[in-house]
Amino acid sequence: MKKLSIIFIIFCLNTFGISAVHGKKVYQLPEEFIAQAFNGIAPETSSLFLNDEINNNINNILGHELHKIRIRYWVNEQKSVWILEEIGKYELITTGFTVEKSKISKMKVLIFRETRGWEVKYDFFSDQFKGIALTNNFQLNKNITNISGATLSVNAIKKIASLALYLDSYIRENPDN
Amino acid sequence: MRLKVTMATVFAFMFFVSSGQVLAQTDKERIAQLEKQLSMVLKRLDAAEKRTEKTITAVESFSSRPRAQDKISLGGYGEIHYNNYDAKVTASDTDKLDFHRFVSFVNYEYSDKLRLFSEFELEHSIAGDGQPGEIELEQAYIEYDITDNTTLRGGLSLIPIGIMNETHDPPTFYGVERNNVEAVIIPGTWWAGGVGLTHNFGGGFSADLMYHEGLKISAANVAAGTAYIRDGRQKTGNADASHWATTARLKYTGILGLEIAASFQHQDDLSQIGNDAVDDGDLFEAHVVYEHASGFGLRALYAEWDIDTDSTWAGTINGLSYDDQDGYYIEPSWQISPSFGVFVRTESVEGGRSDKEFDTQSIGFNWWIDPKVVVKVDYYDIEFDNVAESATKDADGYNIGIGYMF
Repeated sequence: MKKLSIIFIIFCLNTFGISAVHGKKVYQLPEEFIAQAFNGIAPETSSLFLNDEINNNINNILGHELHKIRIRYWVNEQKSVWILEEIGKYELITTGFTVEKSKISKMKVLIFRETRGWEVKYDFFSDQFKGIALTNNFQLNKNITNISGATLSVNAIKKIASLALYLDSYIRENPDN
Repeated sequence: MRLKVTMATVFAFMFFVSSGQVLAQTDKERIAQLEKQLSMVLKRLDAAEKRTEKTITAVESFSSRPRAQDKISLGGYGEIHYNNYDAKVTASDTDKLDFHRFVSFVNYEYSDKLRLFSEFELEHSIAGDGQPGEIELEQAYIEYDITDNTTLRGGLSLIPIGIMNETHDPPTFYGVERNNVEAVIIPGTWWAGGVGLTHNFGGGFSADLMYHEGLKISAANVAAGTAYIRDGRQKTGNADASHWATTARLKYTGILGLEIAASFQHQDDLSQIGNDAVDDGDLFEAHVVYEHASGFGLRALYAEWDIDTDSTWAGTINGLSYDDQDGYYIEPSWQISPSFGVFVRTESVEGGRSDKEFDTQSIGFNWWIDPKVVVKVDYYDIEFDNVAESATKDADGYNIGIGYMF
């Protein structure tokens, strides 16, 4: 069952454009991050179809539209897990977020494709996101220390952290989405 | 009579019972019919959901298929500056508006491991004979990942030295103008043709090694006391490759917000010509960059040249000979909010020429309209070491700039 879950997760991730193996530096495969978040047995993949309200808020958070029909996620009563991507300076950064009680409980840069700024893989960077929540204007409620020479990469990760928190709050408030 | 009533009652009873049975039979049929319809609707709904899922999956697969244009990335930065300084002598005043840099990046990803980076720059708006500007190829190199931790590059690239030599997009630093220490001493922005290697050791340690074209400094200018290290950059334009240079850097970034690095460069003949006034040169640079979550930041850098010269070509200037140039700056800052930060900077430059030896003080702010767009204002004061230079060129004033990156 666990094997089937992982196979299905890989299928879902590849289908909606996140390739788990074509990164410059793969620190953890997305399917492993998801399984780890749920103690080895991930729930069925859920889909959040993006309506006008969600797209508007995504635009506010990221500064651009996502041009996607839906976002896949994994959820149970306690937590939700999101695999999101955003361009740093030139390349996409694939990041995993676990959200519990409207706060990020775990953040990990999974695939990093930029030439500089690889320090984002270290725990000292990702630990900053633990316990972080969203303010009313979609900002993170805590400052994140920058990495010298990687400002755009850090900004990109902050934006998708905000996005993960927003999406979690949406699915909790709209369980029939 | 009684019989008739009884019969009527019986018939009425039988009528009502049979009617109820008819009604009940009708309801049952209706319910069964509705259940059948509901079952059909649910089946059709299930089928529709499956078709929708297939359609969406197909659309997502189509839109996420690799396309040639996905391998190309574009970027750039630019900055316009207004400088207004009052000098001790009016003729040395500055009142200038300049689109200092317009830079474009075009990168291409051949594969997961092989990439092209290129950077094209126009300085001061207009290039050409008699015009103030220059068009330059600042970077064009191929980068290849030998392993996950080791990258090789070849072509024209930025030399691994200093704080700003490799990262100088306007929103990433304080102050309208780049600091003088890195401009005069290093001399940044410094790029050269050659090959380079970057290795990540883990634990926050990394190293860079680059073998590249060297400077070409005019020995005659050294003798005349007019030589300027910065003028020795060849920029890989029919560069004299008689004498190459080697630059090595060790960097530590294993603590959140901290970067400590030191670079060393050796070139065995800075003039590219043997038996003249200028022989080998060594450049040493070290810096610290620190950023705290509170918004406090600090940059501090020291760089020095040790250049061997022939004893018959002393070129002494202000008690310093050309063979010993150095500089440092310290820049504390405070990013008060995501969109506003303040800084102060103090610099000391000993650039081997009377007009390149001075101290400066700056204080100002950055206002980030967007993380990639910044408005900068700063007050600037410069005081020269040389008495003659100081008498005319000491100045103070302000700079205003708009910068962007994308």
